[in-house]
Amino acid sequence: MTQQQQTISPVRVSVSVGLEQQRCFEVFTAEMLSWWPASHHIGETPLKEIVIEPFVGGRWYAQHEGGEETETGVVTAWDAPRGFTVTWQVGADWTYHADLVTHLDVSFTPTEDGRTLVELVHRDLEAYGADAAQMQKTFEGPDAWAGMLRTYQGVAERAAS
Amino acid sequence: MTTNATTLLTVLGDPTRQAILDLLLEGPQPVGELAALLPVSRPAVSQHLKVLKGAGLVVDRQEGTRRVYRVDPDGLAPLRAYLERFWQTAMDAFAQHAETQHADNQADKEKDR
Repeated sequence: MTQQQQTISPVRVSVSVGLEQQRCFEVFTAEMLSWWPASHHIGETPLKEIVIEPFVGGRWYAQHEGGEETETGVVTAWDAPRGFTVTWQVGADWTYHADLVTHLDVSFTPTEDGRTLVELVHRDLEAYGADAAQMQKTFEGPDAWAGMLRTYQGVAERAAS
Repeated sequence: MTTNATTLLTVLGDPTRQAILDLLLEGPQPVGELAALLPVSRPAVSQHLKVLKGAGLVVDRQEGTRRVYRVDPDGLAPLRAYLERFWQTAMDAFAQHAETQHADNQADKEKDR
């Protein structure tokens, strides 16, 4: 066993949206603040704007009410209105890691009923492997990942009820 | 899901177990070699490996006279499950926003054509 290949299957989620492809792409990328789960950010103050610069090499970042900016990743592919790829460099500890690179592929496919199927793939999750051992350090504070989990679960359950 | 994540956090809360996991992330190792690299006894390493294995973070395999441990990629399952739920929630929120804010405009636009 000289070769060790650690892979984790990508996370895949999809949703059907009642808008045509072009409009769907625009709303997704240009109005992110309106739909992004508001509690999920990595700044010290609430979100004010979320920006994906619409070109390869563009930044994906957030502006916060306190004036700070936080990085999420960079655009690695941009093919409007069919889809785009960005890096997601947020660790399990909900902070930005320059050296933790996972990818999100988001595609917009027209369906026969005039709707658009939006598919999101979060891949290269094995990058979290090296991060996993570091997770614990940030778990003890009130903003820790375990706290995020509880918050998230509350949000998910409210959304479901 | 929360229980699994909490277990994972507890298991990773020990510096020796973190060190063992760090070493295994570089490649599979038998107990003896791990013990040689760490400032703890071999029985202690075995004990920590048992805990890591119980949490699904490492798997072992008998190779001749040695038992070799390696990181189980599925040990990140709680994180993966968390991400899956996060993205599904985000996408559902997007669909809801898109349809409530924009579907009406689109219907008007189609009517005007």
